Amino acid sequence: MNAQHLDSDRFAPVARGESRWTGAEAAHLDRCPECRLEWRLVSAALGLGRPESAGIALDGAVIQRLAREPAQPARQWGSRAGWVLAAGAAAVLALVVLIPGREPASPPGLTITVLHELDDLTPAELEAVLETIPPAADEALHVEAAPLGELSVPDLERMLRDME
Amino acid sequence: MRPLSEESPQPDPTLVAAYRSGDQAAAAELVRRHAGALGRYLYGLGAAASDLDDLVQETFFKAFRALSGWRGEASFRSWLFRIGANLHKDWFRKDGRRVILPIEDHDVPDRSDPEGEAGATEMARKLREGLLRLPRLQREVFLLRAQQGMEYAEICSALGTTPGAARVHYHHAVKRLKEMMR
Repeated sequence: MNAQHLDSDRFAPVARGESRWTGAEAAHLDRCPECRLEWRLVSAALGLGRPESAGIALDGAVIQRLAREPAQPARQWGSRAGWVLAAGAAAVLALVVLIPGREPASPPGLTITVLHELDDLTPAELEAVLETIPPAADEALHVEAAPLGELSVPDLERMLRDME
Repeated sequence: MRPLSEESPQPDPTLVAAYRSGDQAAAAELVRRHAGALGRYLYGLGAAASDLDDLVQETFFKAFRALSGWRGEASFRSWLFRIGANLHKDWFRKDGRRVILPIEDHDVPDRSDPEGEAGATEMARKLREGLLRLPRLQREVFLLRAQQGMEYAEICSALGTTPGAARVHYHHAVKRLKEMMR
C-alpha cells in the first residue's frame, strides 16, 4: 500500500483467494472509492466468461481430430548439409539432362555424381529439391529455351563453342 | 512412464512428454485441464461466445501439432494462451468478424463483492466493452493477470515481453478501465 492507495498488484491474488487483505488494507478499502472501484474491476474480470467456458469439454473432439489429421511426416533431410548436397546434385543433373544436343553420357570434363539419397524421396520432396536449384541452372534453361533467331551471331558462336 | 492416475495429477510437462510418446490420454487431460480457462481468456479478448468451442479446439489442435516448438522455458499454459491469442487475432482479421458484445445476465463475478452483487452485471458489461477499447497488449496483460492470476514472469513468457513492461501495461490497463467505469 502506498501513501494514497492500495498496491494494484494485491487485488488479483486477494480476489482469487490466494491472499488476504491485511487489517490496514481492508480499512483503506472501506473508505477509498478509488480502490473499491479497482476491486470491483478485478472481481468482474475474474468472473468474466465463466459460464461460456464452463461447458467446454473438447478433449474427445481434439483427440479425434488429431487422429484424423495426422501430422506431416518429418523431413528425412534433417541437416542443412543434406539439403545443400541435394541441391547441388539436382543442379548438376538438370544441366546434364536439359541441355539439348547432349548425349546422356557424361561429356568430357563433367562427372555425374549419382546420389542414392534421392532415390527414396517422394515426388513432393523431389520438387522441393528442384526448387533449390541455383540461379545458374535457371539461366542455362532460359537461354536454351529462347528462340535461336533472337540470338546475335556472337551469341550463337559462343553457344556452339560451349556445346562442343 | 507411469500411467495417468486421477489420484496424482501430473504436471503439464509430464503430460506433454507422455503425449509425445503416444499417450493420447495425456493430451485429453491437458485439454480438460486448460480448456475452460482458455475459453474465458478468449472470451475476455473479445471472442463471441458462439465461437469459443471452435477457437479453443483449434488452439489445442495447433498446440499439439507444434509441441516440438515448446521447449518448456515458458509454462505450457502460457504457451497455449499465446497460441490462442494469436489464433483469435487471425480469426478476427481473416473473417472480418466484429464482436457485438451481448449483455450476458450470467456474466458476473462469482466472488464476494464489497459493493454487493447489485451492479455486478453492469460492471461486467462495462468491463467487456472497456477491454475492447484497450490496446491489445494491455488487454492481454490485464486478463492474464486479473482473470487468470498469472505472475508477471509467466505473463511475459506468454506475450514475449519483459516483466517490467508487463507490469506497466497492467497498470495502464487498470487506470484506463477505471476511467471508463466511472
